[in-house]
Amino acid sequence: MLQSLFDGILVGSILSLGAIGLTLIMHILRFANFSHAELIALGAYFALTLDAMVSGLSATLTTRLPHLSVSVSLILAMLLSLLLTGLLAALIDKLVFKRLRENAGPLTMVFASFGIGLIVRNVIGLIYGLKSTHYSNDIAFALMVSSDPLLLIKPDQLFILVLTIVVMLALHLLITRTSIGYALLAVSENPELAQVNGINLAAMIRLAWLLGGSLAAIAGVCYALNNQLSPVMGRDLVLSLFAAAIVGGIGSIYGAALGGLIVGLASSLALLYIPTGYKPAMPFVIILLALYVRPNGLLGEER
Amino acid sequence: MNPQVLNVQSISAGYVRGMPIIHDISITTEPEEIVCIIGPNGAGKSTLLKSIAGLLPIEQGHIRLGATNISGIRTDKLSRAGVAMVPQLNNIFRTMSVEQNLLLAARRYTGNRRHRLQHMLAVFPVLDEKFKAKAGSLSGGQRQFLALAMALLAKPHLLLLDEPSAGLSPVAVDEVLGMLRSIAAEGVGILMVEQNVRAALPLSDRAYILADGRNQHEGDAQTMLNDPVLGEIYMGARRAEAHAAKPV
Repeated sequence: MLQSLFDGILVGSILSLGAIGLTLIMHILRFANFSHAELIALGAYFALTLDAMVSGLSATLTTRLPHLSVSVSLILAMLLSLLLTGLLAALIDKLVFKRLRENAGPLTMVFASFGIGLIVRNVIGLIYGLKSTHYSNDIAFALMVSSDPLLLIKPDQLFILVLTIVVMLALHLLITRTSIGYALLAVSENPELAQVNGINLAAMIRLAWLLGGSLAAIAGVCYALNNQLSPVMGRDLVLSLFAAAIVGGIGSIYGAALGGLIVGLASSLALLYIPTGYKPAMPFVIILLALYVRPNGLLGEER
Repeated sequence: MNPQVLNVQSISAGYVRGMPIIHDISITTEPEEIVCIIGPNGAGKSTLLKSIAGLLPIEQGHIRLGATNISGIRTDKLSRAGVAMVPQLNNIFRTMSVEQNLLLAARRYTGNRRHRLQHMLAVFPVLDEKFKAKAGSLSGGQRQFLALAMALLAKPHLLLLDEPSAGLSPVAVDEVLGMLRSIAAEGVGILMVEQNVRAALPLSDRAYILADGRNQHEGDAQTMLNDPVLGEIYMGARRAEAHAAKPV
């Protein structure tokens, strides 16, 4: 039980990072972006390539942090990856979604997002191959924190948990203490009113893509650290991300963070009672329950 | 010297290009003047306000703010240039606090924002009392005060109001509309769309009647209020309802 709780919180915190970008874009641009999960995969693979490039610069950068399989070069690579993924997300919007929202309806954008997702997934497969891989071939041993009830934690998992908490705190400070954060909240709640109050909508949309892409990249690196890199990791996460966004309430940044934790916990705890084969169905069940009990989500506004 | 704060010349606009909802409409507003736009549902009143605020594209004609042609300028730039708007519905950010709403709106003001904010809190003392409260928890009248304060924080030249009395209690209607004359007295031109004709016309200087997306009539608000023909056409339904409600 304790182990499932920890695993659920860990996976949930990764999902939260991915769901925040999804919910922002879904609310501001009024379309479900099914390619958002691929940004997670992109971020993870960018970090893989950048890690190799950065570690080639100096042998000291390959030094692993104490007790972790994470090297200094991987941390630098992750920082570069979040910038690169954010910029790429904004570029995809400029090249594809911006044109479609000017000339076509939301449904066209949804189908386009499926297309982009397919392209990104297959390009990753073409470049990196279809086999799974890891950032480090070192074996990370779990520490037994408690034997009864059993709780095994890898140091890398603690690193992931601390990193996601720090990122969420930084995001919280951004949206509650800075005028740019207020503007982002305003645009996510009511784009028209935000413009009336002097906010440049196009700039905020770019910022939302940049932020969403960057958070997805961090989620991708964390997911790959906890599991492995695979070209289909985005596809595997897409339903959980939507479940998190819907449970939290579309448009709510805090809702997405909470939704991610709920989905992670529910998926993990469900394994105590149902066979593993049913695990992929959990996001569906959570979406159905959320829509039945609270159609606007936990923190979503009535529309 | 252009005495008009707003000069709308023969504009046509709508939500879909090539399918205008308003046609060839011309309207002016002067500083310290309250101008009311009335008309039946679907007449294009809100479309007109959104077009002036830059939220809808104009297909023909032009709009001047003072001497500046503002046709086609982005809404956020217009709001910084002195055009403030209070939409009819969802005119505050409900998930944010009163403080956050006001700070967000104050970003447009180029002077001392803290002083301007203090001034607004003095004008609307109820917002000072509810400063830390979530905006979504305010009553209808308080929300309208917050929306007005947000619009006025930037010291606009022109204030566009879309049905400011909609959904308010009679007491709140009096409170909100009662503020407009003192707002106009600070040099602001007010262009207001209002269904509540009997409340809005007495405090307006001039009025325009829109129907089927076109200017049907314009003139002095008091004259219009007392005009039996216009009253019959545009306020007749209300009179008939009142008549029908009387016991026989």
